[in-house]
Amino acid sequence: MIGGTGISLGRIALRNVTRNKARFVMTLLAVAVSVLIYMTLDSAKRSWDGAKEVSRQDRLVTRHKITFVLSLPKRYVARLANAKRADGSPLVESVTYAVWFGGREPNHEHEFFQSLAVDADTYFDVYDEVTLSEQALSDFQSNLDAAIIGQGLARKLGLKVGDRVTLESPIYPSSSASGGEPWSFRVAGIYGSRSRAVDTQSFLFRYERLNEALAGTSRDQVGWLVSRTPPGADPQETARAVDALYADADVQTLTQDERAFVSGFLGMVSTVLDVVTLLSLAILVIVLLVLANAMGLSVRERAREYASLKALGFGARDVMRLILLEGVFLSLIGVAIGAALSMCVIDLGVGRFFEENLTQFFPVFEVRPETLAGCAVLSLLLGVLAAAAPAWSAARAGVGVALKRVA
Amino acid sequence: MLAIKYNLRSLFVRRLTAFATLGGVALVTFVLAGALMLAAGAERAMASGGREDVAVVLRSGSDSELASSIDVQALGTLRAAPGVAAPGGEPSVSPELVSVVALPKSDGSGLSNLTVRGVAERAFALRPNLSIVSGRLPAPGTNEAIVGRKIVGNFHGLEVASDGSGGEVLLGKNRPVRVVGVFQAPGDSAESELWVDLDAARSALGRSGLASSVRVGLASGADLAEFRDAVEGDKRLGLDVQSEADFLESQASGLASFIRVLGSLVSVMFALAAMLGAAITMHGAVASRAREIGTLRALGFSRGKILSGFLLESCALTLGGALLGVGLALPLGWVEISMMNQASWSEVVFGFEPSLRVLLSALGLGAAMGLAGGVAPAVRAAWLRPLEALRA
Amino acid sequence: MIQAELLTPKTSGAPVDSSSVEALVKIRGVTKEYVRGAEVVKVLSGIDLDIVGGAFEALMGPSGSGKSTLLNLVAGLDRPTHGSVEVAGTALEGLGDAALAKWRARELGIVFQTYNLLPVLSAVENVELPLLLTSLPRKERRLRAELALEVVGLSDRARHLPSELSGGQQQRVAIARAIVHDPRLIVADEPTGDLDRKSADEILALFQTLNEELGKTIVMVTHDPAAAECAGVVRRLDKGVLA
Repeated sequence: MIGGTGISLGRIALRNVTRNKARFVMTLLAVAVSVLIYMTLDSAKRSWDGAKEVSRQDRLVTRHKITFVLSLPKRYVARLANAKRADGSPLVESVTYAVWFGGREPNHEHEFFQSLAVDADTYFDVYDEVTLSEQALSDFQSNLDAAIIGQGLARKLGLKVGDRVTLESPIYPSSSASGGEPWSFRVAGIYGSRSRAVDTQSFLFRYERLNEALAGTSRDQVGWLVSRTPPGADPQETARAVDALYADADVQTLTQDERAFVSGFLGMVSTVLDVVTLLSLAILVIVLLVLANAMGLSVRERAREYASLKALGFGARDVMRLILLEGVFLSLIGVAIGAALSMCVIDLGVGRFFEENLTQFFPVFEVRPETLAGCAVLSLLLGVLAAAAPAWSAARAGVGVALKRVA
Repeated sequence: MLAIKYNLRSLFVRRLTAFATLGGVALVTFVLAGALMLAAGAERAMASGGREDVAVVLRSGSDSELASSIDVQALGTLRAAPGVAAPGGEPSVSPELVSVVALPKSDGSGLSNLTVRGVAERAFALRPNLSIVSGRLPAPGTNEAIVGRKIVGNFHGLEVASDGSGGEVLLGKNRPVRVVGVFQAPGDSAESELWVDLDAARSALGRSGLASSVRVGLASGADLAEFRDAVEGDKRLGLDVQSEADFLESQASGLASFIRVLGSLVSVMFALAAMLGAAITMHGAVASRAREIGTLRALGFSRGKILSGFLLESCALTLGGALLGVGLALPLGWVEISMMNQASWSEVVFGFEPSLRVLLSALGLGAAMGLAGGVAPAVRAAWLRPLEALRA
Repeated sequence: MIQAELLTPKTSGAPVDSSSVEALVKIRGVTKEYVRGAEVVKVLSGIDLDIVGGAFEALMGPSGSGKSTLLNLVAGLDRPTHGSVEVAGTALEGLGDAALAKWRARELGIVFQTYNLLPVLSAVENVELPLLLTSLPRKERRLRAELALEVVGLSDRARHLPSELSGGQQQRVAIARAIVHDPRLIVADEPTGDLDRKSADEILALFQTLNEELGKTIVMVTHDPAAAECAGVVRRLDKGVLA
C-alpha cells in the first residue's frame, strides 16, 4: 500500500499543466517563439556592446578634426612616427595610414565591403592580429598591382590567390592621372584574423598605386593615421599628445583610441539600440499576456477542483501555491524550449551570418551566458506574474460557490 | 444580428482572457503601425519635397552628394545646356558643396555628424518651399548661416545668436559661422542641415574650386531628358543627371525601406506569438462552450454557421486588438526621432506619419491573426457531434 | 391568452384514435448498436412505433432502456443502425447532416433536461434563436419570440439572462424556444428531471396546454410518474424493446 511515489503539490501542478494537451502545446509554442525573438534581440544588443570590448584601446586612430570626409597631408605620418615623449622615448610604437577607396566589384554589385589603400610596409605591424603568409606579404610589399583580401571577402567574391579583380570607385574614377584606366589588381594573398576586432571582409591594396593616379591637391593625402601606443602608456593621454602635434598646423586632427571610436559610432546609432530594447520589452509583455491567458483559462475550468481541494481541508495558501507552481512550470518549460531553439538558430545560423557579414557591428554574435541567465530569471518572474491574478481569485473563492458553479 | 451578438457577448463573458489576447494583438499592431508610420515619416521628411523641374547633377557613379565632387569648370557647360531656365538672363544653376562635420551634441552625448551645405544665393530661388521661420536669410559672401528647423538646438551652438552670445559653430580652425536664421523646407532633408555661404564652406573645408552637386532649374516646358542627354552625353564631363524628386527619393529610400522591412519582419514574428494567444483563447472558448454549440446544432444551426460564428468571434477579438494598437500608435505622430541616415552619414530628424495605408495594414494583420488563430478551434467547434457536445 | 393567428392549432384536443389518423412519426424496424471497445452493445432492437399527429406521448423505462436514444432518433440527432424513421412524410435516413440540421430547424422543437439556454443571451433572445434559421424579417422575429414568451407566461422576464431565472423559468424559456418556429413535433428529454415538484407541475401543465390548445405533438422521455400521467399515451421501453 505504502510504496510507489507519493503525490505532492508540485506533481499535481505538473499534471495540471500538461492536462489540456492542445493548450499546453500552443502555449509552449507561443512562449518558445517569443523567447527566440527575445534572445535574438538581446544577443544582437550584447554583441553590439561586445564590439566595444574586443576593440583595442592601444590602437589610436587619427582623423581630420572637422570631418572624416577630408583627408590629412601625408607628411603627418612621418611627424607622428618621429614624435618623442618628454623622456625621449617614442610617442607611439608604430604608425601606418590608409585611404578609403569606396570600391565595388562590378560583378558583385550588391556586396558591400571595405576597400582601403594602405602602406604595405607598416599596415600589418599595426594590425598584428592579421595572419598572412610570409610569401604573400613579400609579394604585396614588392609588387604595385598586388592586393591582399580577407578570407570572408574571398569567399563572397569567389576569389583565390593569383586571380585578377577589377574595382570601380565613385571617389577615384580612374587609375591614371590621364584618365580612362580601370582599377585592376592581382590577389597576392588572403588574410585571416586572430581577433574579432579585425574583420576578414576588407580589400587592401598599395597606397602608392592610388597616389600615383592622383594630381594636384588630392596627391599625397591620407585618409587617417593608425598608431599603437607603447605598453604602459595611457591611450587617452597619448591621443591628446598626438593632436597637440598638429595643433598649430592648417589641418587639425582628432585622435581617439579604437574603443572610443567604436563607442562614438554606436552613439550615432543609439536610436536603433533604444528601439531594440523597447521591442524586447514588448515581446516580454506578449509572453506575459499569452501565459496569463492560458493560466486564466485553466484555472477557470478547474474552479471546481480547487474548491474540492479546499473542501478536503487545503488552505487558500496551498491553492494559491499550486496555481503559482503551474504558472512557473508552464513558463519554465516554454522558456527552456525557446532557449534551446535560440541556441540552435543563433549559434549555428543567424549568428554566423552576422559575424561574417557585419563583423564591424557584431564581432561576436552568440547566445551569451548572461542572456541565458536573464531568461531563466525572466521565466520565473513571468510564470508567477501570469498566475498571480487567477491564483488570487481561486484562493479567495468560497468553496460552496465554486463547487456549485457549472463549468 | 443575434448570432453575432451571441459570439460577441461570449467574448465579453470571458473578458479577462479575451483582454489578455486583445492586449497582445494590440502590442503587435502597435509595433507594425509604428514602423510603417516611421518609414512613411522618413520618406515624407526627406523625399516628398523634390521637384520634377529641378535637375540634380552629380559626378557619375556617385550615389550621394557626399561622395560626389564636381570641378567648377563644368559649370559653364551646364549653364549653356539646353532647357536651363534663365530668369532675368542669369542661368538657374546652383553649385552646392556638401560635407559632414563632427560636432558636439547639445545633450552632451558626444560627437555626431551634421550635414553642412555651402550654397550660393541662387540655391534659394531653386527651393521655393524654403522659408525662414525665425531670424533672417544670411547675407551673401559672409560667414552667416541658417539652420534647418528639425535640427535646431540639437548640436552645441546650433541656434540663432542672441546679442553676440551663442549661435557660433566652428567649421575649421578659426572659421566660425554665425547662425542668423532658422528655415523650413517641408519634405526635404535640408531641414536637418546647416546652410552656409558657398565660398565660406569651400575655404573652411579646403575645397576651393569644387562643388558636390549642382542643382539646375529647368525652363517651363523644357524636358529633363533633353538636358540629361546633353550633359551625360558629354563624356569628358563625367556627370549624372536626375530629377530632384528622384534624387531625394533615392536618398531616403534606403533608410525608409530599412525601417519598413525590419519593422514588418519583427511584427510578423510577434504576430506569430499573438496569433497563438488568440488560438488559445478560442480553443478554450470552444472547449467550455461545447454544450452551447451542441444546443445550437440540435436547434438546427448548420456547421457553416457555427464555423463562421467562431471565426467571427476570433476576428472580432484580434481586430479589436488591432484597432487598439493603431489607436495607441497614432499619438506617435507627435514624436520626432533622430536617426543616422546611411546615405549621408549624418543625422536626420523625422517623425511618425499616420496614413490610411498604415491603418489598413495593421487591420489586415489583425484580421489575419484572428483567422489564422481561430480557424482550428472554429473547425473543431463546427465538427463537434451534437449529441456528444450536449453530454459534455 | 393564446394568440391564435401566429400559433395556429393544427388539430384540436385530446388523444386521437391511432387507426383513423395518419401517423406523424413512423418508426419501422429500428435497431441501434454501439461499439464499445470489442463489444457491441445493442441499445434498441426492432422497434416499430407510430405516433399520430396531436398526440402527447410519454416514453418511460429504467436507465439504459434506450428511451433517450429512441428520442434522439426521432429528433434526427442520431441515426439508427438498421430501420427507418419517418417524420411527417420525411424519411430522416435520406437526409445528410446539413439537410438534417435544416429539417430540425423547420420541423422540430427540442426541450432538454438541463434547459441548455445560451448564458450570454437574454430570455427573449434565446427564444428568437431558431428564427435566425428562417427568412423572417428582424421585427417579425422579435414579435414572434415575444409572443412565444407570452405563451409560457414569461413576458415580464424577457430581458433577463438565464442566470437570473429559476430552473422552472429557464425551462419555460426553453419551451418557448421549442415552439417559436411553430413546429408540429416537440421532443422533450426529461424536461422535469432537474426541477422541484411545483415547477415540474407547472411545466407539465404547460405541455398539456400546448398539446390541447395548439395541437402540438409531444414526445417526452421521463422518469416521473406524474409526468407520465399528463400524457395521453405512455409507452414503456425495457432493454431496447417496447413493452
